[in-house]
Amino acid sequence: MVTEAVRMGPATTQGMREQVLTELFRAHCAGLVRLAYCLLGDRERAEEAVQDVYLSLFRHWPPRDETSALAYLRAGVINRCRSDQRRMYSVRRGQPLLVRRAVDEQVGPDAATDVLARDEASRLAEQVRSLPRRQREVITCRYYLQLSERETAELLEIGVGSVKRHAHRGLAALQSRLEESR
Amino acid sequence: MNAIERRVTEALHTYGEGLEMTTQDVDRLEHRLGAKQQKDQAAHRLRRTRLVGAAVAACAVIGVVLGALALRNDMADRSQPAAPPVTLAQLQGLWRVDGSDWLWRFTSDGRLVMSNKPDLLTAKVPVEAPVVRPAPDGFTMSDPATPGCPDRWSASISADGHLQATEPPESAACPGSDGVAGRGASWSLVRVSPASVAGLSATPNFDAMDPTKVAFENQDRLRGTWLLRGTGTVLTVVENEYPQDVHTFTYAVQDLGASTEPRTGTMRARLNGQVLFWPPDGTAPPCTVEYESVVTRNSSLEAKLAASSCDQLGGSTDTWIRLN
Repeated sequence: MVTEAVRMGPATTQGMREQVLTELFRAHCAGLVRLAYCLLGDRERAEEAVQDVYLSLFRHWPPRDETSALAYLRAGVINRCRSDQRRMYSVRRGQPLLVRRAVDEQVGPDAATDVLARDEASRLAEQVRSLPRRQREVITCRYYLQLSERETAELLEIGVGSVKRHAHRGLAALQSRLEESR
Repeated sequence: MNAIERRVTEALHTYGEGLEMTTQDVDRLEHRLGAKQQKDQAAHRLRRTRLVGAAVAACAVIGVVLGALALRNDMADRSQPAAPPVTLAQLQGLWRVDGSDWLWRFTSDGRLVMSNKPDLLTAKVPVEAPVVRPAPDGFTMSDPATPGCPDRWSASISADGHLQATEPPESAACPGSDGVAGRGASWSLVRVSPASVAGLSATPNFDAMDPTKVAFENQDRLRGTWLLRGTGTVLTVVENEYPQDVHTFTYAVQDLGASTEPRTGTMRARLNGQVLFWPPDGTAPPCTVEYESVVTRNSSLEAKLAASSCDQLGGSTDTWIRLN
């Protein structure tokens, strides 16, 4: 784990920079891919987004310390996913990820319950992705990354009041959609 | 935390943590990042070399021009006419980014969609797609995500179908706008459909591999966007959108210079290597395109039409070049 701020300093050599970047990659790659996956719903695009953000970090070296590096990476992933989502569209939108019949045929009752729980989670995650941009990002920061309102505001560079407003509207929209789908 | 917050939290965690990331996955991504990094550094060096070269050339040109002007100070009109703006008609179509698997599609009403997936013929253009309008020396790009901040791109299109476009750096008036394609980045593209002179001579961007005959078990190798060599006809092949049907693919084929809508349908390879493309139910006549064999080298496809084929996508023997 990278903890020494001095290793992030501008005097860092090329070799040291690559080593620190490698450590940062190995420490946070999986979490960032999952964050991007929540925002995009597509593994391949999520992986590409995270790699692009690491490349950007490499170009804009050095970060102040690991905390700022992680904040930079998270903000970068959210920005990159925002751009990606604007341009792309999911051909699977609205499609169930699994069909009940197939699940029942392939697995036992316990596993089926588990798969159906995952299926329901996928649908709700899809609903989160279909929210307007700010609501989507705030909901993901608050309830996936488990950031506080202040931390969310800092990451998204908006006010705490905006975080409260977008979270409230986003949750209301999700609640309404869940009730409609019953 | 109330009920809906708890439910969203659980759902997002189940969804996100459900994405399996093994050590091998991280190794694979790290390897790919290393390759991208090297490519990025090489491109940076090339840009720097070009900048230095351009600066030297510009100095030489300026010297020559100043000398000529000094000798001919009686020249009355030294002004150069501005390059004509690019038109929407010139932009409309599918463009390939040089050396990349990314494609840009400009619609007839000036909206821009970018993708490196085989989805540009069939998917709807999102309402939030950036909108392009001609302007002197290029075009403006309005991103609905940042209203009131249209970007002034410099761009030119050559007669043979090359587009050079540069996105401006972030403006002080609109801080925080992340741009459409990368702040300050320059792009070189070739129009592939409708066909252009440059597009007709397009070569693969992908590494060629050993020839492999496509059959049922490896038909996913046809997934991608393909350009029929020497034409503006583009074919896209994607997984069937119905998850319970994993043995067929969805295709679309279109020359954007010849038709307004793509021909679409279902594709499947048989165990014996025949590859079929058939239109949706209800299409009259229900005519299937049947290839006797399709051989892929990853970067390209060689397809031989069956004598019994009722229809065709190209000719009797086609070469398709992979675009992504």
